[in-house]
Order: sequence, then structure tokens, then C-alpha cells
Amino acid sequence: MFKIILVWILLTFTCWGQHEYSVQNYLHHVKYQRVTSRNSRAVLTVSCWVVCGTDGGRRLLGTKPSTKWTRAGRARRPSSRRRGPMINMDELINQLSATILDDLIDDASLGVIFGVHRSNKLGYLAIEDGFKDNNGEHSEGHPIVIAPNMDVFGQVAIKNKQHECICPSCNRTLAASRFAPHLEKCMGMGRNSSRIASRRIANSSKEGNGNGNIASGTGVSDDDDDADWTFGGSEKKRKRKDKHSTKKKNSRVKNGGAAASTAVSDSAYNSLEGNISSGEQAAPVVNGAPTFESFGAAEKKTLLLQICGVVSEHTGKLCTRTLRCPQHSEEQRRNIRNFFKSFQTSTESEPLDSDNVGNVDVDSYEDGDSQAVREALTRGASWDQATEHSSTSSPADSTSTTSSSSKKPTTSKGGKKGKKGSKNSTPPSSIAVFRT
Amino acid sequence: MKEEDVLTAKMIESGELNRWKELLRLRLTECGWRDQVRLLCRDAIKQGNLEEMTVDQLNNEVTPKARQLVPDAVKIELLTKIKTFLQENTLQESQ
Repeated sequence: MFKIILVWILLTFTCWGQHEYSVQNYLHHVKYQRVTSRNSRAVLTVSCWVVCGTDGGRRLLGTKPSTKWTRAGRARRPSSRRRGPMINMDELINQLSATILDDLIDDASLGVIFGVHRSNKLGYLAIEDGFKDNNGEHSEGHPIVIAPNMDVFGQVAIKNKQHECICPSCNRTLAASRFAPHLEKCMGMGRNSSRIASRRIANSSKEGNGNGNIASGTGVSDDDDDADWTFGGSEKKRKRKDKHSTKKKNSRVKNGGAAASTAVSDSAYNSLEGNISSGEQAAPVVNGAPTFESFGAAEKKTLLLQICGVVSEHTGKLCTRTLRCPQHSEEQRRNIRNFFKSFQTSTESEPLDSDNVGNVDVDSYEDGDSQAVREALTRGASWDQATEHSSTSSPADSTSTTSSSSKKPTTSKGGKKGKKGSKNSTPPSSIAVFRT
Repeated sequence: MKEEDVLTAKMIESGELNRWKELLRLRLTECGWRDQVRLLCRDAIKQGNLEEMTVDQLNNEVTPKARQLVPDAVKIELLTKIKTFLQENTLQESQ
């Protein structure tokens, strides 16, 4: 009991005039339960109420508290205890709520502090606040550049310029994106390349004409193609030029001054094709007649010597492969040549034609005994045979009346002449082929 | 005698304390107080030793400023809530 009184007296003195703090302190202590023993807590509570009570009394009296006042206070304690809470309830509640609020705020800020501390310890504080940090701390390393025509790293933006390639075969400049498709067509690899037809014609003409210096080694036109692929552009171009020039020369010799370049032969081929597709039903030349007739029989013949020429059922076009094309049979080729022959007999003059055939054959024999040449010759011979057949059969099924009948003898003569010419220089083996 | 204890217990039991906490957190996030406190923390960390900074140090430095930064509106709102709760409970107690 004495102990309690002593503590109370002590507290009364210490809290004199600053009771608010004491109340707050008390509440704080209560809240955090730092007051260990139940007894002392009770004492504190009592003393606190007393202080409040004295304060209330002080207010009521409006006088300065005397030293005796404590004792009086103590004497009045029961009554003040009854009144104290009632009077100071609002104040107490205010204090309490303020404390609680502060506590809550501390709690919230502690949460933030924990978060920041953790991120700092783990080292991602700078990363979390990235943008501001970049502006401040790490700006020496990688400053963010905000300027026109620059990216964020301060590099000048690359202009979206299209790269241009120069085609090695035709020396045209193209956009890089268009280069591959162009090359496919230009170099003659794809199915629908524009040059592949002329290339094949050129190759087969080489074989057919027999001046196959290039092809004589291999004897196969496909190998020639392969060689083209491995050669560089300029070399290839030169080679092509050579081809053209030799061919031009040949054709000049053959046709007696008629200019026949590959382009001409191409167009001849096209017109022929158009003619075939339009007038396939044995209709006499109507629409395509001028173009068809504008090319001499010699050209048509050279064309037919070079390509397979069978009209496809699907596309209605001439087959542009070589004479040894595996897709069509010998019979089909013969038939189509007969078909052409029936036109020729009705339209064209023959002497040139026959001369031409002879020429061709003779040329081929000069270069001699390579297998390819021989085969080409047999093709030529078979064509000749076909013409012979057609010439014999043409009167029977020809639609035209006068011209065909009048020119019949010349045709047969031409065919015979050609045959004779070839016969003169043919090796025995090819003669055997001939006669079969 | 144990009025405060009783009050504290009631606050916790009824879940009112948690509700206040949540409300306060929401309000403080809304008004950007959290970001401000974050900045304070970072400044404190930058000023002090980067690695050695403890939570207590941070708390001591930041908490007083953080208290001041809380907007009055938020304070008043929460205070009224707490007061009403306390008044109700004390009234019940006294009755």
C-alpha cells in the first residue's frame, strides 16, 4: 500500500502541468503493453485519472495549484474519479484517437520503409524507379536522347533506303526484294522463265547445226546449262554474245541475208504458237496468217529443228524442249510436223526450204562424229522423212486445191534433195537409222 | 480500470482497426503519399550509407516527415471514424 502511494505521489509531481503528455504516454504504454506487471499498470491508471481529475479541478477553480492541493486532490480523489471521466471523456477520446491515428500512419509508413529497404538491399531500388534514376544517376552511361531524327540512344536513325542489286546477267538495277524473282527469270531457272525458251532454242540449234564446239565435249544440252550457272556474269554474257553472233552468222548463211537473231526466232516461235493455238482445228490460216507468213519456211524449219514442237493438250502451246524431249513420243512429233507441212505446202515456196535442209545437214557433218550431232541429224532426217510423208499424203487431205497440187512436185523434190544431200555424207550407221 | 485495454481489444476484435488500416492505406495511396514517402526513403538512403542503412534508421528518419505529409483531409476522416467508435464504446461501457 505504501508502495502504491509513493508511486502515485511521484507521478503526480512528474506529471504536474504536463498531464497531456502523461496521458498520451500512458496510452502508448498500454497499447504496446510495455508495462509488465498488472499491479503497476493499475497504479498508473489510477494516477492518470487522478491527474486528470486534478486538472479538471484546476480548471474549475481557475487558480494555480498550491502544494497543499495535491493533498486536497487526494482527499477529493473519489469524487474526482467519478467526475473525471465524464468531464474529460471527449478530450480523452481525442487523445486516444490521435494516438491511434498516428499509430496507423506509422504502420503505413513502416510498410513503405520495409519495401524500400528490401529493394535497396536486393539492389533493385534503382531499377524500380528506373526513369528518374536514369535521368539522375546513370545518365553518364546511357543518356536518353530526345531529339529529332535520332533514336533514344542518340544514334542517327537509319534511313529506310532500299538496297539495289545489279543483275549479273542483264546488268539491270533492281530492288533487293525483287532480285530473287528476277534472277529466277533472267537466269532461266524457274518454270516460267522467259529466257528458258530462247536458251533451249539456242542449245538445240547448237546441236542441230552441229557447230557445237561447246556442246561437243559433253554432248548434252543440260550440261551446258550447268556450266552457265557456274560461270560469272560477264563471262556468261560474253558467251551469250558469242552464241548470238555465231548463230546470226549461221542463219545469214542459211537464209541468204535474212536477218534472224534469237529475237526473231522467238517471235517466230510465238507467232507459230499463236497460229497453232488459233488454227488448231485445221482451219486455214486466218488471223495469224500475216505473222505466220512473215517468217519464211526456213525459219519455221529451223525452229522445228530446234524444238520438240508438239502441241500440248493442256496449254495448247508448242513444246519448247529439245528434240529428244521425253514427254512426247516420236510419233507425236512426226504428226505435228506433218501438220505444219500441210500448211507449208499450201502457202510457202519450197526451194529455200530444201536448200536450208541441205545446208543444215552438211553443216552438221563437218563437225563429225559426236553422238549428239548424230542424233540431231537423225532427228533432222526423221523430220525430212515426215515431210516426205506429208508431201505424199498432203494431196489426199489438203483443203487447198490449186496451190497445193501445183507445188507438190517441188515439195517432194525438196525433200528428196535434202535426203540426198544428207545421204552423201552420212556415216553408214545413221543411214541405217534413216531408212527405218 | 481496464477501460483502455477493453477498448483496444474491442478495436481489434471487431476488426475496426484493420478497417481503418485499409482505409488509410487506400487514401494514402490515392493521394500519392506512398510515393512521397518512397522518395523520402530513397533520399535518406542516398544521404546515408547505402548498404548499412537499417530499417530502424530509416524509420527514425522518415516517420516524422511521413506523419507531416499525411493530408489533413485523410487525418480528419480517420479521426472522426475513430472518435465515433470510441464514443460508442465508452457510452456502452458507461451504460
